[in-house]
Amino acid sequence: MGIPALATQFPATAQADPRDELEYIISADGLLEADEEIADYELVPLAESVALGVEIMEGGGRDHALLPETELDDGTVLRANTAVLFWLTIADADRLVSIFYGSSGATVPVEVTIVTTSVPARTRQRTVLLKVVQQ
Amino acid sequence: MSGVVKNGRRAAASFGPWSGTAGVQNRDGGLIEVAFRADPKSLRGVKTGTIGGDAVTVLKIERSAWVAGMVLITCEPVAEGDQDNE
Repeated sequence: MGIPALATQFPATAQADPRDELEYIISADGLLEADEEIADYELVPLAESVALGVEIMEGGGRDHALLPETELDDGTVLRANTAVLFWLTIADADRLVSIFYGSSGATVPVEVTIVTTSVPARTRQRTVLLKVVQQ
Repeated sequence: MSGVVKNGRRAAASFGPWSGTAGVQNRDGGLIEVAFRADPKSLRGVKTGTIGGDAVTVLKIERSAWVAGMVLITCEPVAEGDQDNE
C-alpha cells in the first residue's frame, strides 16, 4: 500500500505550521516481537495540547487506523498492524496564538498506548511530540 | 482490532487568581489534568478550583514538562456530599 506523500513519521523532522492538517504515522515496530502486532490502541492529546487547540481528526476520510503492510516514503516497510495513522489539526481560533510564533514554537504531546496480540497481552505507552511553528 | 481517541475538551476553569479557558483531559482513576498558560508560582497554595462550573480538589500543580510557559494541574472532582457541606 502506498501512503500519501504528506505522511510523516514521529518524531517529525519537519515542523508543522498551526494551519497544517496532516496525517502522522506512529510505528511501534521497535517495541514488538517478531510476530507481535497491535491489538488495540489509544491516542490521547495531553491537556497541554488540548489547551493549544490540538485535536485528532475523525471522519471525512481522516479516521485514525491501524495500517496494513505499508511502504514509507523512505523505503521502510512497516509490517501490518504495527503502526497507527492519525490526522492532527489545531482549532481555527488557536492557530494565531503567540506561542506558535518565534523560532521555537511549541511542542505538542500526544500519548500513545498500545495493547499487543501477545498472550498475555503487553501494554506499551509512549508520548510522541510534534513541533508546531508559525511559518 | 480497535482504536480509541480521547481528544479532551476545552472548558472555562478557575484556580486561585487565574480564570479562563483551559485544556482538560480525563485520566485513569478519575483524575483530571488541566493545562493553561500561567506561572505555577502564581498558583501556590491553591487547593481547589472549578472546571466547567464543577468544583475540583487540586492534587498537584507543576510546570508542564512539554510546553514552556504552561502549568499542569492534576485534580479530582469534589464528591457531591463534600460540596453540600461547603
